[in-house]
Amino acid sequence: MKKAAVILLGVILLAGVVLTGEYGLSEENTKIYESAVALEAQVEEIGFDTFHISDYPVAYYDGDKDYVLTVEDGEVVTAKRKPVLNAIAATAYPVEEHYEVLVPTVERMSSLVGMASLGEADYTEADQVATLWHEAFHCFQLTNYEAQVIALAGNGVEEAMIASEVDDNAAAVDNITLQLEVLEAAVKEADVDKKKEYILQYEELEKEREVLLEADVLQTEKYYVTVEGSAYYIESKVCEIQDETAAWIKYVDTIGTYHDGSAKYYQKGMAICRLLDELKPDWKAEYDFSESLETYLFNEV
Amino acid sequence: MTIAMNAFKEKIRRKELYIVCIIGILIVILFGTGNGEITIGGKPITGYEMLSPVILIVVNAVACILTAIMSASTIPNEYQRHTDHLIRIRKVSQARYHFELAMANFFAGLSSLGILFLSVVIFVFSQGHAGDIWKLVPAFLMMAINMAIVSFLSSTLSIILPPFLSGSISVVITLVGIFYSLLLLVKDVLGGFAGGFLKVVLFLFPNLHEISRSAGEFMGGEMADLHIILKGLLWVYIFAVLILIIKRKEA
Repeated sequence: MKKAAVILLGVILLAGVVLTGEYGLSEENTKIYESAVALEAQVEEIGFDTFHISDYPVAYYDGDKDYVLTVEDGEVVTAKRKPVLNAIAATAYPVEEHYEVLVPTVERMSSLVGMASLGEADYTEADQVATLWHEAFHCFQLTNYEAQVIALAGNGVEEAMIASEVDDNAAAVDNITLQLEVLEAAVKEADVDKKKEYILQYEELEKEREVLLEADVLQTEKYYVTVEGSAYYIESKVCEIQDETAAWIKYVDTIGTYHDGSAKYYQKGMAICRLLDELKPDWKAEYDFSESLETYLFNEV
Repeated sequence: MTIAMNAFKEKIRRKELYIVCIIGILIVILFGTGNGEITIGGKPITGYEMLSPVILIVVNAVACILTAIMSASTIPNEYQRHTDHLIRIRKVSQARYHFELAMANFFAGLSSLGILFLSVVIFVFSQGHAGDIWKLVPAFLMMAINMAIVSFLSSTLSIILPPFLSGSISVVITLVGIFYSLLLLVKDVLGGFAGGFLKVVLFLFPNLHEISRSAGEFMGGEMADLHIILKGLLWVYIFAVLILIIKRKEA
């Protein structure tokens, strides 16, 4: 009798745990995906006409499973599967014959950002929407310009190389700090002629850079500026659609700030895309990633 | 419960609880008076809303570790002093004997938590939130679940292992439980074999962080999370059953 009561208590507790638990993908994640898809018409106006987030499945990783979201006949469809990457990462990843956006769920991203910044930074739904567009742009690059992206990567991209060859090189740091400041001034400058003067200054600094660094380091920089910088540009524009003032503070006001690691190249690439928007508004119709954004800017403007 | 009460009274006579008192006073000085300043990422953590979850997490961590240490020696000490013989001749089963000693450990853990909670009471008053004082009762009861988990876990291990070993393993499991959320994130970041290994470890160990977090959220005005409470109670149940099942050889 006592044994039966003990077993019954265990069964009741277990049932309570199972019944009160939350399973599957939270509604918040689905809403974020729907919000991202809802921006398609506005993002199309940015200029990459054939770029649509709904062309690429979005897989949310919750620590155990991938939840793959797609749009079918105007409806969001969710499918569960074993995780293809099984790690926290926001990336574009080949799955079968296509590329997919792999991102952690907003809950996971939020704890990661909170913990990495020791509670200083928040990760909002708007941030997650912008991240989805950022990674979707990588899917677009790899689907349409894979050969060019691989060529830009040269012998392979290693972020550790940036730390050892650039961040620890005082002359290279001074040079790129100046470049970033010039780019921020150029983006904020209203006068077209002055904008072009800034670009010439930037080009001069880039030539100095070619003397300071080895060829493979320069190639890695070009890759980051072009591939990541353009995706960062899309991310910033998506943020701008959602909240123009917040996007300006987060992205444009920080162009001139030097950061260790690859972040500074994201800033450079985004700034160049913004300059091209003003000086060659139709650039996205012809740009095919066969040359770096910098080379394209110097040739075209 | 006579055995449990006697074992508990003996624990009160010993020095562990005094250590808890001193730590409790230090926590009050650190959080309540404003003389000590806590910073996270260079920013000072001040104000009732920011500090109350932090103080509960600290109280939880300290109480859990002390409970794990205090609980590791109770059962082996009783056998060492051959008091088990006196119990057995009174026809008390070994299962009941172990369970009552584990209950004594739980009462000691609860007392530690109670003493540490005095610092929370002082903190709530010092921050001018006397109206929130009633919330401390449900918060205390929620965190008492952690004391039950840790004391029963440590008691279970001490049935079969020597005090030092059972205490060490209990403290390690307790630390994993306290840093559960952080480790969950580490597991996700690591991926691969290491991530898989950590996933198994986390599945097997109780999450001691989420109860204190939920208690903190409750203090901040949110609803208590029933799922977390039931999960905690399930762990208590599992270790209680293990105490009843596991036999000691020398008996």
